[in-house]
Amino acid sequence: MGKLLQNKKAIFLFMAPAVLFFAVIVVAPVFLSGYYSLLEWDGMGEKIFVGFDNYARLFTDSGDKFLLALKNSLMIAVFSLLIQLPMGMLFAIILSNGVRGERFFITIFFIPVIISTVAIGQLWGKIYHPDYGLLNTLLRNVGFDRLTRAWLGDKETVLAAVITPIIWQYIGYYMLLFYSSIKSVSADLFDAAKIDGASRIQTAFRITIPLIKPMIKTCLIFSLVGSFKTYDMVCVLTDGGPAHASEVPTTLMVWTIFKRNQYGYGSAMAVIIVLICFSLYLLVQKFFKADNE
Amino acid sequence: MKKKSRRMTAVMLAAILGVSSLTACSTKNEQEGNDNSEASDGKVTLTVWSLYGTNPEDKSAAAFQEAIKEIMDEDSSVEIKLDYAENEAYKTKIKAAVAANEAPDIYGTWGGGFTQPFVEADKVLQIDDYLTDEINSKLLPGVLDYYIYDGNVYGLPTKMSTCHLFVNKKIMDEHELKLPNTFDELVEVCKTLREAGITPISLGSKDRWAIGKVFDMMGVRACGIEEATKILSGKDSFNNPDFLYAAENFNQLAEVGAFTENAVALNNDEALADFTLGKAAMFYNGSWSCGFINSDTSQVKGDVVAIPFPEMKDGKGTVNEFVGGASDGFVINKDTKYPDKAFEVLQKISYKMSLKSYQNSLDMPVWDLGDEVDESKIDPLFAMIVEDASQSTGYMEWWDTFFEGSAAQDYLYALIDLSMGEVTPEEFCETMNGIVQ
Repeated sequence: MGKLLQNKKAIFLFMAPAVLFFAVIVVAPVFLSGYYSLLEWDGMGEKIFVGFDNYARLFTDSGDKFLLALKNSLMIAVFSLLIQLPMGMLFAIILSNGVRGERFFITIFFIPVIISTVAIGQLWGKIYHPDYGLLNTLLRNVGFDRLTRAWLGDKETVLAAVITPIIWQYIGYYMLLFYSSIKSVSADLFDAAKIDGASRIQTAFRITIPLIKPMIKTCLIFSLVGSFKTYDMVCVLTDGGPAHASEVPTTLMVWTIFKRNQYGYGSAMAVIIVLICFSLYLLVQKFFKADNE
Repeated sequence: MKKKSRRMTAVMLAAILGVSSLTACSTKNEQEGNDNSEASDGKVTLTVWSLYGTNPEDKSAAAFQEAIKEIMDEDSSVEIKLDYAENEAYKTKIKAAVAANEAPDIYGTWGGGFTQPFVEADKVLQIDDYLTDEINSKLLPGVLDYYIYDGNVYGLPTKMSTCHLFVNKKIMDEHELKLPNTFDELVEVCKTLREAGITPISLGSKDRWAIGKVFDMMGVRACGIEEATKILSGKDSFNNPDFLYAAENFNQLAEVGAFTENAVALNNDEALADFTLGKAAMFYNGSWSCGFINSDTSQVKGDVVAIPFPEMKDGKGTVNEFVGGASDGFVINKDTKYPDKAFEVLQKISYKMSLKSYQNSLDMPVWDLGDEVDESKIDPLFAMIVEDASQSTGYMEWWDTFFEGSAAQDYLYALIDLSMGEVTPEEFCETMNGIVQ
């Protein structure tokens, strides 16, 4: 085997199919998008080279709402960090402490992750329905009639109404990741902590969390990058509406390319999304590296 | 020696792996890229994409499936492969496919602005030579208008559509209201219904075309077709007092709460469902909705009448002007291997869809159907629309197909802003000016 690995030709030949596949499916489209983003092109007709005009337009033309969409994604990211991950962690720590019906709760919390986003979107759409929706019915029954509204039809509330199910849906996912990570920590450590008289909270902050740091890093990356890539839930609930109030970069990109026939401009959005996700990844990596030193 | 042979084997294995995976890729590509393949028995395979799926509730789709089956039964030399998607998704899909040169042989489209970029990019087969005098004499006058670009014909429509105001008589009677004949009466009716806690007009503007339909009609009522056409093609300003009048009236409807409260979060199917469940008094939509409204599962079956959108007091349009016409249709991909066969199938699709749509009370025909239709089976609700349409003095194209891609989208978004009270009617007109320039 060692001999085989020394033979560069063999390495090349073995890797060629996978590399080729990867290049055609993943790498080439990214670079093509980069190329398209420099064009003014309706997808079919003549391609006009416009350099970085599309990028300039993204950040200067307020009518096109790209900055608003970025702001909305940022909101999703912030709430993921402040609510989704801590909630997942809390559940994981509680459950791993040996609660009665541990497996049962794990399954329950994991259910939203398994259900397709389209179904969840439909469910929440019904919850928000102004006439017979659960939310308004509840508000009416407890006497808060003035608070009832068309949650998804109101520019003021739509973003919060869309973010809630996005956050809710994946709490179970992060809980499971944290939980399995905690379970893989040696039980001796917890026993030792107990003997030394550490409280549960002390154990959580001094032992559990530091030991599962690699998993926290992974989850942080998933959660941040996922926030900027969100598409499905927004598409099902509002499709970016009303009047762009719940637009995220991905919905705006699809709309620009396929509805407005502006391939070049839409590709510029795609490139920015890729760049943002990539830099977030690097940022988290760097943050944890600095922390380790 | 032993080592060397082992190394040889490894290299050869790797090579085989590489080659086989490459060939696997290329066969796949061939299958995908080459939609029309002639099988060994001489059969011609044509791919057809459309909006029409297999939902039995969707009667237009059922008619289409039936038509395709008949075509294959009549001509054993042709095999048709179908693919479909829901309206908005379909529009996305077909644009992407045409751009990537992966369009099927024949595909469903809309005349005017939607097909224009396809024609300009030279992706659509010109069909003038196939249109013999015999065919031309059987087509109803004017139905090809939306498929003519630069004087050449590029496709055949399948049906004539128009929008009507569907009114639930039962709800109106319960509140002692009469059918609105003028726009002012409509506003009063909406006010009364809203106060009584009933949604006056069911609207699902998450499907943005649905809100477009309402304003298209109001624009035509206010300006008249001739002037509206001028304004939309940029030959007159949107600040024109008549257009502003349309915007003000639309704004008035929105202000009195005429539309579903969270219209922006509902799609058209959900709005239609609200109407067929008797939760809303009116529904403004295409004649194709008749089938749903009078279907066996509908709770308002028999209670509904269809009337033209009411006239406006100071409007230049008359009640006999309509928006719509023969826009839905099919075109042939320029790269098809079998243009002759494709046209044969296209013509059959167009004729059969016309016949079935009319017989099933969905839409009006574009062909002279002779005595092939059993008039006694026509749905009474649909008959009302056909009756009104026969009085028509003119049609104007749907505005979202009149405009090209981005202008159509900007128009619909501006309209949603107006409906939510985000902009004033004056600002709306100003925005429209910016869009069309």
